[in-house]
Amino acid sequence: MNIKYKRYIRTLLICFILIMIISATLTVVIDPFFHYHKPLKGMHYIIDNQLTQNPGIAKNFDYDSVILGSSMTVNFDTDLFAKVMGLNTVKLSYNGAYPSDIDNIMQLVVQSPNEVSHVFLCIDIYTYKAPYGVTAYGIPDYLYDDSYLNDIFYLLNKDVLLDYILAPQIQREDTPLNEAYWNWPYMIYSAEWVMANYEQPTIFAEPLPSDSYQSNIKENMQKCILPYIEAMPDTEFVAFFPPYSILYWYSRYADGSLAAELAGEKQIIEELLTYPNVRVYYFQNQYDFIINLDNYTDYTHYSHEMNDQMTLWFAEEGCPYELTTENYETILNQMNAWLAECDFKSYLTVP
Amino acid sequence: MLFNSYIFIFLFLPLALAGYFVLNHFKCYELGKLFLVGMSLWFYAYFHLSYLWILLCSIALNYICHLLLIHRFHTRFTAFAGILLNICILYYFKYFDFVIETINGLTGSHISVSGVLLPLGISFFTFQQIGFLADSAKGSVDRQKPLDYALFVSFFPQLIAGPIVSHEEMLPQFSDISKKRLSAENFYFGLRIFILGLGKKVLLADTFGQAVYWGFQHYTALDGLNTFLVALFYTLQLYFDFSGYCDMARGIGRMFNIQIPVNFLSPYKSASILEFWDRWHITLTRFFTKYIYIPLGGNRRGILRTCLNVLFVFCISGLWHGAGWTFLLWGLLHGVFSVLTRLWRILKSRFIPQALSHPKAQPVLKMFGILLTFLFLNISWTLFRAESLSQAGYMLRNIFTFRGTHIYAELAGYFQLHEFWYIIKFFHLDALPYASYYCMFGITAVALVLIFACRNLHETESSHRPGLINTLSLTVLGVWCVLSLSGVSTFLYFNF
Repeated sequence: MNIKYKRYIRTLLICFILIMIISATLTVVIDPFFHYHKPLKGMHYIIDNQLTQNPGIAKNFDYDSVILGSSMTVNFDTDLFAKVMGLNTVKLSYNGAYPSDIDNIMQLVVQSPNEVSHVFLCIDIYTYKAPYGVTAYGIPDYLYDDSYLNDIFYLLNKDVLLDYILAPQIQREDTPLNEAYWNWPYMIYSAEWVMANYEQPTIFAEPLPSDSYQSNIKENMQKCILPYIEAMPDTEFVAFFPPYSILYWYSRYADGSLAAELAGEKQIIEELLTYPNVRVYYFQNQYDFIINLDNYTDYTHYSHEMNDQMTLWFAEEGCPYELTTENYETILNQMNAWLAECDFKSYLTVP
Repeated sequence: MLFNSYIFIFLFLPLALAGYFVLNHFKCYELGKLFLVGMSLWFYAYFHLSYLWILLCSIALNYICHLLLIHRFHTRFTAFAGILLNICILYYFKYFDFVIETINGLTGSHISVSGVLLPLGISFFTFQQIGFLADSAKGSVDRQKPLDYALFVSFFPQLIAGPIVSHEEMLPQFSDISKKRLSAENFYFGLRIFILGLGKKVLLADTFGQAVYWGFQHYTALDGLNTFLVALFYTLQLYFDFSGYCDMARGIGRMFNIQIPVNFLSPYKSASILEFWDRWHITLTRFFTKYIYIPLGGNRRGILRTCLNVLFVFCISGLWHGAGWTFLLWGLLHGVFSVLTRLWRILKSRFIPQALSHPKAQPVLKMFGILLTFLFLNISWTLFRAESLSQAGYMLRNIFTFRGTHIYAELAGYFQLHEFWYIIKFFHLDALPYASYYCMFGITAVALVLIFACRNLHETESSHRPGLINTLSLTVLGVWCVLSLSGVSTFLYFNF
């Protein structure tokens, strides 16, 4: 009796362990999250998961420049970076990225053997005003740390096996690296669409004091951004403020945070301009662009043409949107004045 | 540590089994128990190290009370003090904030809440120890060694989510020398029960759980039809979650040659709410019956007193499940329906014509009873899951509007499991109309068939014959579950 049970237990355990070993081996060899190595030739890879694939890209790909930031950066075309600046760029975007997200991925960039000449850093003021340590999503530690013990989450993972190993091989599907994380082909860019989905603010609050976010911004900068700028003096950091639509500013006006956010931007800019290896671009004052909601899919996200345009401006000598210690106050004051005089409600109806 | 985690399956469980049986093999039985206590404490401390002190203090204080009671030291006072101490610990960690928030709400005061973390399984091990003290006071417990007592309370399979075991069913097993050798038969059956429980939890409960989470998050955007579906999915999720966990606990116990009591016996097959509580969380019902209902007089003091006793027990049951008005109301609702069912039975036996007692009418009446009970449970679980009375009220009102023309794609989307994509693609089902709903209907149908048309795990145990097909099926299920572990949700009953 006991022998019969022993036989079945042995069968069960051996089969179970064998399948586990096969699954883990398959994951290590194909490695769809690039945790152990670069993509293999002849294998198909889809790149659509920022949280799980960014760390592998940062650690194991060959590159000389990186794009960091929120969903404002996902529609950059890295081929254009190569064309106009001769850079071999990888995109390491995180939707809604907070400074701590930038910090997490920068740690891996620094550890990689790549010589990074340029870091393109998108600065979204609404994330810098958050307390230090906040991240957009919980990160899967097993892909970010050096421990091999917790790699079991990756090695024995149904989603990895079915979605990222088997499905791409069956469908013979690849994501070109320059198109990684693109979402513009699936979006609708029109004023009607934007207004249909825009939740108009109803609370008109007392304006916050302009130094409301000062301490959070200072801590975020000091802990997440500046250490890299200081530790990488030979790397050029290209920081830029993306052009949100007029509706974004209207929402800030309504919730009383407009002056505090603008003061926060000024604080960051002043901090960054003290470093010789930093260039700062301010794209938020493209007034004609930001009032034309046909350029947007919602109140902040612009079309990919703007990403391409920003890329061209990065490459342009004497770009009008580049800030310097001489011009930044004038440009920011003009923006403040324009917003102060802006008749926001006139933009709330679709022409 | 969760049963449905890699560390438990690949490290903790093999280590615990190997250590325990190796020590027993060399006849180091006490060391074997000590090892098991040590492993159980590791299991508990893995969630949060500070929880460990609460558990250890609780065990130590209760053991001191037990010794005093054994020596008949002011028995009534000691028993009262011991039980009160347990209730105070439970009150502080579980109910203090609820009481303060209620006072603040009623009086407009601003007393600050403690914000302490609820230690996992505190309701389970506290009730287990209250029962033990009560029996010690009655003189029905012999003096226990500290190690045996610590193992009785902390034995990891039943530590954090029950069943609520009693000393008479556990302590003799820990001392039984015949249970100290690894038994291939028990190990096989234990493994089988564990894998099937894991399947219930990981494959069914967690799938329903995602849809339920979305539904309760967006309840104001749902119409009657979709709200009803969310309530139904929660009814299914809760059963597969909790019974799956208890099955895993029983399976692990069986691998150690320890029989842990059955906690669920196809509860949704119940034809009345009274029958439901004989089948759902059986060990909790047993506890309330033995230590609250019967001491209050049970059904021996007339119908009115019986009804009051039932209502009281269900209110306590509601509060045991959670510190909140929704839980209290949920308990009261079950109490009221239990009372009504009792009254109906009395009325039926006196006044209902014989025609309804005809044997041919029984299956129809039973079916009707099952349907009615299941619908009642759907409603009461909505109250149980809701974050506030207003949310529960909104959802229940929504259900009874009977409005709704289509099932929301977002809701159906949570059932689109990756593994079914291949089946759908292979058979070109995605080209058919309503293809995006097939997975939802399929998984729900499977769940309902398992609940209403299949024998439960306990019933199949005696008739199960191991064979190659059964073994390979179990292997496939085990592999499927383990590969699905990443990113699955946590157990619902951990906070109770």
